[in-house]
Amino acid sequence: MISDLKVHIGPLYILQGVSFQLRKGETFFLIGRNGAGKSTLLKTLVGFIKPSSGSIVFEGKDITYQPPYVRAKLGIRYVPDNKRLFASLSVEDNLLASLLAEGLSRSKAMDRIEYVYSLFPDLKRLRKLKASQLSGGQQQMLNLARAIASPSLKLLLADEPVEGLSPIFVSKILEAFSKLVEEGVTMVIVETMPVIMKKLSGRCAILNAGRIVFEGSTEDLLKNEIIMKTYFGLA
Amino acid sequence: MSIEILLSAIIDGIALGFVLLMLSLGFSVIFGLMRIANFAHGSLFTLGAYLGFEVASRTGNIVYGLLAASSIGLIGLVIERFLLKPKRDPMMQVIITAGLMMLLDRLAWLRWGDVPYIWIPKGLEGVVRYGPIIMHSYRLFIIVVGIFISIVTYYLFTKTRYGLFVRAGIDDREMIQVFGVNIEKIFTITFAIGSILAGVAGFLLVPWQGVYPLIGTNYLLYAFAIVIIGGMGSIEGTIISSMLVGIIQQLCAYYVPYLSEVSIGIAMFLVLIMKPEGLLGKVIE
Repeated sequence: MISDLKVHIGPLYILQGVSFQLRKGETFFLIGRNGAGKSTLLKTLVGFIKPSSGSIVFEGKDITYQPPYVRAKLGIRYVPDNKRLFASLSVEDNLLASLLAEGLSRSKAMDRIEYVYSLFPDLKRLRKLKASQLSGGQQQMLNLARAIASPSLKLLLADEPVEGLSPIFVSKILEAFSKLVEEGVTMVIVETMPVIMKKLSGRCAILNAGRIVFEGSTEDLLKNEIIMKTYFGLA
Repeated sequence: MSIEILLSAIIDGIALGFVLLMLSLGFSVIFGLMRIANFAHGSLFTLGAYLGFEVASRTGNIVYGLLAASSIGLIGLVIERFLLKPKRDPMMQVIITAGLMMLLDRLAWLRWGDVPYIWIPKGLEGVVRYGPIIMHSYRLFIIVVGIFISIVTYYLFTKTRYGLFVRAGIDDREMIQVFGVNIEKIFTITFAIGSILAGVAGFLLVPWQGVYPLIGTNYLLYAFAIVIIGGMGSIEGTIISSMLVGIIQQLCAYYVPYLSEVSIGIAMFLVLIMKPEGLLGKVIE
């Protein structure tokens, strides 16, 4: 549950009292123009940015000022928009680092990596390559794979996961999201294109200048012509 | 130019390269991971040299000397935990480590004075002849110890869980936390390991070049050059450039002594022009 979250960076108030509640297993979309505060909200939820006030409660625990590694141990994972892979490590070491970091044994981590390869077979083929040698779409697959590899994943925070990807990569990532929905993982997805919303139903909120100005179901949002035109340029 | 002298110079260069590698590896990894140019690293090298010298010269046992030099890791741990951790501001950390450098060098001067101390372990005073090639026993010993420590360190950084986190952290120290790594703990361990390597490197140089209060600060300049040539934070780059710098320095010392100090500057200058990120470095955004 996020209550009255306020964030300022220097003199700028990025979030000006954001509140919403996530239901277990739901997919929650965050929509808004550039600079609305969507990415800042995700970074605050993951622990990169400390809020000025407000609270974040996850499964009954107040994690407002907990560092990212403590949140990770609670099952929160983050997929950043600019990928931020461990560029000098191989694809497999990227996955291994993310799994060993949560305390898994090497053999259990390798089992999970095989599971990830079953979701993204391309990554198995590319496993020895350095992350920096992958194409943009492949990097985004790895970016997502690294987060969903966790066996203790409960809340996934994804920032524009299909932005700039070709249709083939978009469909692969959508498949992975559908699987997460089946597994009951709660997701917060920042979306600038309605493609994922059309595939995965759920709830959504529109952020405008650091405030939530609309909250409802994705069906309602997709039917709303004014919103579609204003935020997605679609009539 | 005889081939015997050339080979002797190269062997001496490799021995110096291993000392430089131990000094630079910690410096490079600390810089890559923590983004700190640790100006006190050379002073830890000096302290390791003095501590190792004191213990080894009293006991006559080089192993005790190495263990004493390793205890510099504790000093590193205290520096990181109590001086650097409370304020992770880059400028503040430069001021703190530069201040420590001055303080530790001054303390060393007060305790031991300007006189260089040298101690040579028994059995390693002489030379070894292999055909026409003459090699100093102690420098061969440095190579053996250097190979052992380098293998252990390389294994630590490339094959262990801790090493994987360090390498991931060098790439993106914020993101590795998202998966559950307490990066502060990794910082402290890394700083302590870097300090151990610096201390041991300092002690290994005592029987060869002696120890005096500013030796570490002088050698820190080599570490800077090595890190720039190899690429900041690159473990493989540091290994290659340490050997290059060691061999270049010794070749110059044998053949053109007046260029031995300048040669490293020239090598660094050339690398900066042709590959500013270093031989195996990456561009830090």
